[in-house]
Amino acid sequence: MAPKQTYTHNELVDQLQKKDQGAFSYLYDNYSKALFGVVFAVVPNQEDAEDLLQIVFVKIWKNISMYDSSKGRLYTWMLNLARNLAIDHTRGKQQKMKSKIQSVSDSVYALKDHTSENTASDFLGLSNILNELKKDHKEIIDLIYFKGFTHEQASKELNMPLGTVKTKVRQAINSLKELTKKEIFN
Amino acid sequence: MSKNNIIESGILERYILGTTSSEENSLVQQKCKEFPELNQELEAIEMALVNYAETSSPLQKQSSDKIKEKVFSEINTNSTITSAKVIPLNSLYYRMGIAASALLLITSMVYNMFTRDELRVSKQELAKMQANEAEMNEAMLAQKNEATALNEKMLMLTDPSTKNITLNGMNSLADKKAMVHFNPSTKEVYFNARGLQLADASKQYQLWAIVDGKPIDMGMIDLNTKAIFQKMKALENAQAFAVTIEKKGGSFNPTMNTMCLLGDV
Repeated sequence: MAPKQTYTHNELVDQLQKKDQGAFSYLYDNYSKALFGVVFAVVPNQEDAEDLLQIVFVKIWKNISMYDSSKGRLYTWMLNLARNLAIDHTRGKQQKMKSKIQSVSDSVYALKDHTSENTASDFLGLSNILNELKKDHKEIIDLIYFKGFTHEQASKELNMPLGTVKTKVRQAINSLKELTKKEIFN
Repeated sequence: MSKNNIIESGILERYILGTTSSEENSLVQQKCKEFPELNQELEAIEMALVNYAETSSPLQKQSSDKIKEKVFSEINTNSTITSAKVIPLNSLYYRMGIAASALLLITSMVYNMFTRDELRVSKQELAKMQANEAEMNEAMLAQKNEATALNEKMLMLTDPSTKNITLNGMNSLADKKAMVHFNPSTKEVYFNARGLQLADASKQYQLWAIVDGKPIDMGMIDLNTKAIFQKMKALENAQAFAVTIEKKGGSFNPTMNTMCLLGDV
């Protein structure tokens, strides 16, 4: 499941900024699934999320020259782009179908059912991560990672001191790292 | 800040999540240069987050391939088409809008065609009318000039000091008559040909005044003029007028045996 690294981070950025379609193809192969997860967490509708994923990658290609590596990693930039597009999409729809918008936790539960029946084979057992990740860790990670909350906003949302949020984020990612390793080497 | 302090602080996780400030970004990048192992730490965090998002991603291989195809075809067509594609085309209003715009465009094009044609015809008509007007103005001016000339001749003829002299035909013009109108006070002399003709195109009638027994050239007679009177040379006094047939352009002295009209004052 780990992307086959044929580019280092900087090589990939270089090639993309030179508009190399081979590098773009590599980028799609390695990050489309994760970015779809990000979009789907905000827009839990298969068709809409798929349309958005297409827009996300076209935007990545068009705006790659605007990516500045001194401001963060490429994945972080793509993550922000995907999440913002998805959030804009729900805001556009909010006027019409306010009731249909689900909270992040709802969408993740919905997705759990969805994934277990439809795409189990794609996950190579990684869906266990969802079960093994502590509930409070997952709550925080989902808010920050998928919903784009800052640590301060998450602290308010969860009624939790900022220090605790920071610690739990780190713990959550650490356990994700462990779980990822475990799954890869199993 | 030591390498472990950096790792323990959780700043690397926040860096990947994108919640660090720009100062923190610089710090992370500076420390990564200082301790290259930190790059591996960043990669591991990123990988964990990528994998986590993938576990929440119900994207089938088949759909993913389709989307990839669409993305590549979109980035390989020109940008205006690409941006147009983003607009959802499924709305009925949108389609109706397109249909209405197309209809409006066609209607306006047809209307333009007709009005342009009308305008062209109007322009042609206007040009014709302007030409007509110019022609009429010219004709009017000519008539006015003619009327003025006639008026002058009338004034001259009705002037009490004008003498109307009848020239009687002789020789070849035995049955013909012509008139000379002579006003000694204004020195004007007019010749009235009264339908005279001349068959030989190489010859011309010439008018003479007889003053104290000597012939004085009064000018050539133009039979082609439409005017009734022809103005001749000025003269103060004369006893008689005579017409001879001379070579075209006239002679210095009259050829006496061609004299055909003669009248005493």
